Amino acid sequence: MGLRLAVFRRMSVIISVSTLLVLPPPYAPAQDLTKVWHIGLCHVGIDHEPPALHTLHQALNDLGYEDGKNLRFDWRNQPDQAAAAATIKEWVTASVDLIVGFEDQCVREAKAATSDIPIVFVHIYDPQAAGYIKSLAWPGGNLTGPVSNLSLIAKRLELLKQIDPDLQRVLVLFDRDDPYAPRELALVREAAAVLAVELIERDAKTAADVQRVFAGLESGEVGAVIVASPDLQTNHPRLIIDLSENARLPVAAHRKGWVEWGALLSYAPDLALAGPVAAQYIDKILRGANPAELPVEELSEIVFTLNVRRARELGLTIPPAVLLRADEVIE
Amino acid sequence: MTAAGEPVSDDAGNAPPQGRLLRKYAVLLAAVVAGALVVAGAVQTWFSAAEHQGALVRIQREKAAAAAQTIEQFIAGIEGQLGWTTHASAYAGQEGAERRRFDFIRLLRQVPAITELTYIDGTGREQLRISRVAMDVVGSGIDRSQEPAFAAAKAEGAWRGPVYFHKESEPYMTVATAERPSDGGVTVAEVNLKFIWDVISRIEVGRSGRAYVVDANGQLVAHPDISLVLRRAALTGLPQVAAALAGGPADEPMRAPDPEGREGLSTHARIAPLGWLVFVDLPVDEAYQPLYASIVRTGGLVLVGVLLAALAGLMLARRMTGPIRRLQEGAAKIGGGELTDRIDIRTGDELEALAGEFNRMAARLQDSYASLEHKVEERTRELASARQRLIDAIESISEGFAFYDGEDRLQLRNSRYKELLYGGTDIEIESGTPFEAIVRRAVEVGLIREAYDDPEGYIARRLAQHRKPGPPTLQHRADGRWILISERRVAGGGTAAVYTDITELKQREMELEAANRRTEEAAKQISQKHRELEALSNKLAKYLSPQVYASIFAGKQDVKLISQRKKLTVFFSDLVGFTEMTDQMESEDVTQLLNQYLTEMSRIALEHGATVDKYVGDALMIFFGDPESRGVKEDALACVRMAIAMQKRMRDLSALWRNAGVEKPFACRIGIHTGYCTVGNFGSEDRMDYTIIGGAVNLASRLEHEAPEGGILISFETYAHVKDEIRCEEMGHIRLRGVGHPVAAFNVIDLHKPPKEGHEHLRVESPHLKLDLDPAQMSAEERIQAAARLKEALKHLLHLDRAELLRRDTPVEETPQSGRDASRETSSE
Repeated sequence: MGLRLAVFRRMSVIISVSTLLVLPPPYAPAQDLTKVWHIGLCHVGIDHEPPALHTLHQALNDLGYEDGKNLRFDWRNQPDQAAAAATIKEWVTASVDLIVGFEDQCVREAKAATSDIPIVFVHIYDPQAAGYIKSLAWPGGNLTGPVSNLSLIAKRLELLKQIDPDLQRVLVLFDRDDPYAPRELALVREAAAVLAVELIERDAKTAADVQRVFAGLESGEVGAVIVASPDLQTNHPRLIIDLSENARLPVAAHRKGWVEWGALLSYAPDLALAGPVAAQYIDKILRGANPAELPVEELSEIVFTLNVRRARELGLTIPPAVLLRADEVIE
Repeated sequence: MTAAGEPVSDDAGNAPPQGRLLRKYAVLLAAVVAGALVVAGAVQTWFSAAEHQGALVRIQREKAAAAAQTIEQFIAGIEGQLGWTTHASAYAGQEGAERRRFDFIRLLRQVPAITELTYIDGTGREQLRISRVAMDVVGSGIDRSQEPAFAAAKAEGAWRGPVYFHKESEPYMTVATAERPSDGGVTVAEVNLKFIWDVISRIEVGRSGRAYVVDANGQLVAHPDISLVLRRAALTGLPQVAAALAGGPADEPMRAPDPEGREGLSTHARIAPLGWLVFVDLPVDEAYQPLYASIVRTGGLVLVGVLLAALAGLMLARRMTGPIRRLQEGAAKIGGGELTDRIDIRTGDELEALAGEFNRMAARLQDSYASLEHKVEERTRELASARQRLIDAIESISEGFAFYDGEDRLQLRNSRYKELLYGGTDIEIESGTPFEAIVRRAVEVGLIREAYDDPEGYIARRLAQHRKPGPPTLQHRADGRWILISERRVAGGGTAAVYTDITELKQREMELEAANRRTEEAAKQISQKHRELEALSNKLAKYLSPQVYASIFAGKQDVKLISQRKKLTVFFSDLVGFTEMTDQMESEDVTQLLNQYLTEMSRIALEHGATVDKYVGDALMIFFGDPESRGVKEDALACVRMAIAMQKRMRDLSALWRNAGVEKPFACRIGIHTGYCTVGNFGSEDRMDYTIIGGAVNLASRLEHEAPEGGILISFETYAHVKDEIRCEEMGHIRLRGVGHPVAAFNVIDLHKPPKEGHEHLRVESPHLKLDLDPAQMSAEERIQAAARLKEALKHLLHLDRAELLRRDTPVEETPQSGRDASRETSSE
């Protein structure tokens, strides 16, 4: 299985590398060698880094942008949306060349802060629904980027149910202020109806909220945990996993990193792959392309990561059909 | 070689062009070789270009074909994988359904491009759907029998749907395969075609070539620039796409713009089962780059070849033209007169023969030339002796003689000519010297005086004169000699010039002229002196009485201290109250007033022929009878008439002065006496005065003192002479200071005039006197009454006056006369 994934990965890398070779002339930012591009990269969630951060940085370096020479890679990880807003305001004042917003909170603030500075978004769900772009083919504003996150919450619930056919109740955490939350909730409710699962929906914004929710759970009240809010996912991932672990509850996550931390499974595109693609966007924009004309590319390759060890700890047996689906299995 | 140069310079008009043959040969040879090289290079380039393009197109087409095959295999592979799940027998019953689900999941694992698998049973009901994104659905029973995926797959066993874009972004297609027993179901797979992007991206065409895939509708499916695909670019507008979709042959490359707008060479291959097209475009710039390089290479080779050819041509031509040039040089020498010269060419060909012929011709020419020269010599001698005789003849004449030919060159001259022309210098005159040079030389040395100021102008005039000779001209030489030049045109061209030295003649003429000039000068000086004297005397005249002046200047009177006794009429006048007035007036005004008065009075005096003796302040002393006399009676009459005219004029002047601001009008007193006076020049030897002295003068002055203001008092002696003409009033005997006996005095009233119609209208206006007398308007009675009244008034006035005078004078003087200004009394004595 691991080998297959590796092949798939290599293929992706080949795609990006060959695209790189063929598309723009390889002699990188040739317009102005003395120019130091100032790129502001913003993310909310200080207990982790966005999966695509390193791949993006590496891809930029590969494209000829060298830190300290012609690139100022201004990475700021922020504790909350307000801090992110302040950072972006600072960047707008300083007239940075480009802003990269990891996940919606930063992108929202960046969009609110400027309509001139190009914004490349990474790790977002539905830019059209969020109002970042006019259409995928013609973004029409100063925002563009890859769409690496797909709304797969229903699929995650389905996988939980397939792993544990006796699953009756699932804790659904959401942040009421997250604009995505209603849609995610709708999707998961629809799936729950099909799967005959009862959802215990809990609103949580702060870490205290999350702790309160978990503290308020009665033993056996829920059989699994799912998060229906991207903001919440990025704000308190560790906390949610740790509390779930304490409560011996399986978590269906949206990125592989969570599985490594202790979630049962993750079913999502490989977010790290968004890095090189975002780097392509950045390169094109810095070379003069208009973000309004750069179509949004969707990364649709989904990776299903399964933590078998965790399943064993929870006393769960993974059915062969599920095991077969898993792209990556952590023993 | 030096001899060869001569004919060229002597006869420059048809000089044989040097080296033209060499150039011609060299250029021709070079051109032939270079032309061949260029043609060869062009042909070579043409074929290599064609070959290169052929190879290029072949490679492109192969790449397109390979890509097409890969894509075809990809689709075929998916279909093959689907084939595993299409054995209906394997999936019978409930267990079969579970197995199908398991197989579908496995298929998804194995083929990442498939995102969804659906099984539709034989009746068209959906039984199973496994998806990567959506939830799996088991036994939904949805009727999908009408969908083309089902219907077409049922009918043909397999079906490939058109490309569609999931969420407008990713290209997908639907592949459906029917189960083997034909009444079975259909497996439908949604295939993500992003894989094709990878295939296309990996195709490398040259440096910047592109491969891309277009579906059957001309829609761009894959392109290295994913943005273009995501924008759903329709490429039916590109000519190569349109042509290929229309079924155009895949063999021929096409020049057309690629999707990014760059001009390129396009080839394509068909992905037959899908109806798609793989295009491979290479930008023209890059495609033809090797061609351009080859052209540059060929060009360089051709250039080197041409240079070599030019070099070879030059050498060859030099070998050919060498003997020809020697022949040409030899011929030129012989032509130039070097008849002894022979041409030496040993090429053993026609050129050597030609040289031989030339040498023979030169020998014959040499012979005939020798005999000709002998004859010429003889004739020349004859000419020389004739010429010598002519020279001797002209040498014997005393004038300078020269003859210039039609071109104005000196042909003949005698030594006298040279002597006259360049006398005093050692300049030689060569025969054949142009006239202009001869003249110019003379001018430059400074021999000709006329040319000192404007040498060029003189030369031009002299030349003009020489060419069109007129009458003989004179020339003044620097050494003072005068030369008469006579020139004449001679029939048949040429000018004969004869120079004659006329210096002596000229000198005489000039001496005479100088004498004349001196005489004229003297006359001029005299007249000048005369004019000065005249001016001086005119000035002097103002200080003398015109009569005195005239008689002196007429020479009638000598300016000597001589006097004589004559009976004269003496006149004195004086302004009353003038001295007081002058104290009240500005001196400028006094001067003006006095000058006007004296001028007016003098004018009247002169009109009456008076001799104005002197002015003393406002007083006038005048006499009649010397230097010219009209007789004593006439002189007295003229004097009285003058006095009347003066008083009349005084009245006019009074009016004028009053208008000019003189408050009190002046009145004039006049006294006249006729008697013997001594007249003549009185004074010292240095300064003398022409005047009169005597008792008569004194008496006249005293009478003036006694005269009434505005009146004229005359003595009896005068009255005796004028009584017939002048109406006077007897004043009785009055005593005068300094006169021993009383003097009978008469006051002049007016001229006796014959009574006339329209008697003068008398109007007098003065302070305390207003008189308007118009006798013409009066009746005889009235006139008598008026006269009586006036007479009475006059008597009254005179009486008053006299009484006043008597009353005033009595206590001061022994005589009843008034004490007047002493200086004035003395001046008249």
